[in-house]
Amino acid sequence: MTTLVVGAEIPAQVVHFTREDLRAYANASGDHNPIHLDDAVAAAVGLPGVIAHGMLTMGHTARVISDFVGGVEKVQSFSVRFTRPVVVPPQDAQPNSAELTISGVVTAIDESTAMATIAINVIFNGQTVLARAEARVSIS
Amino acid sequence: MAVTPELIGRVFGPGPTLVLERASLIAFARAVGFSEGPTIDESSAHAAGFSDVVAAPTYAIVLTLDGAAELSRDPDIGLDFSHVVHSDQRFEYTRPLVAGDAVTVTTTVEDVKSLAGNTIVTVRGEIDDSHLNRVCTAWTTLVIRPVGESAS
Repeated sequence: MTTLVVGAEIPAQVVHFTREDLRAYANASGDHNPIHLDDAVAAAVGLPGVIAHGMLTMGHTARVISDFVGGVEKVQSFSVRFTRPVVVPPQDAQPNSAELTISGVVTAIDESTAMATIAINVIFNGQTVLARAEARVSIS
Repeated sequence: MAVTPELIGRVFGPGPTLVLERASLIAFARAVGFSEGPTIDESSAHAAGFSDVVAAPTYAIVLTLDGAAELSRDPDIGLDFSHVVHSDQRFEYTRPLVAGDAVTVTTTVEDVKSLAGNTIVTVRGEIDDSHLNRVCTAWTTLVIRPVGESAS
């Protein structure tokens, strides 16, 4: 088991979302909301473009946390607020993906419950897209 | 009726028993970037002490989103998901979901409020296993923008 200490950082990881990734997530999750798939619908409801499922961002972030703490089963709670849309350009655009940088830091360790708290930061286009992003993980 | 505070406390379900399919867990894990390990590979899962592949932490949304979709299926509520933006998500787990688990989902409308012309609804999805033990609770907050109005 990784020894976690307050201040330990999850090394920044870069992920790219393409339209194909959104389709794959829609199929895998059953979330076929057209704002994640269809430019015309996204425009009609006033979005700046097709946006990634917030849960795609959260899902990748959960993976990064799981890898850091040594297993998905160690993640005991995870909460986020989605504060900015992640606009994903069309396949024929240049660039044709949205680039996100996921990082985190251990903010607290509770030895009595063998739990650690990790604060998460996800950056897209130079701005954070999540707020109050925090996971509680088992360190036993 | 739309999504109004009168809905607070409304309970949908428990829904039908769902048996978690290994292929569904693996497809979801791959879609959020897992490429190896107990979420993808049965032998890794066994080596880690699980009976089958383990769900990615956010897989619970696949189960609870269907409960939230009751708000669009109920003709009296008529929520249009194209006008919905996901604003908050929280999961609390008792244990990870594993392929083969038989679970039910109970959905409760926890809060409905108005803010700046939008309706904000929070639903709580409770996932219980076949022994009626709570596996996961998921809170989903949605912002419903009025039809015909543009986002900034």
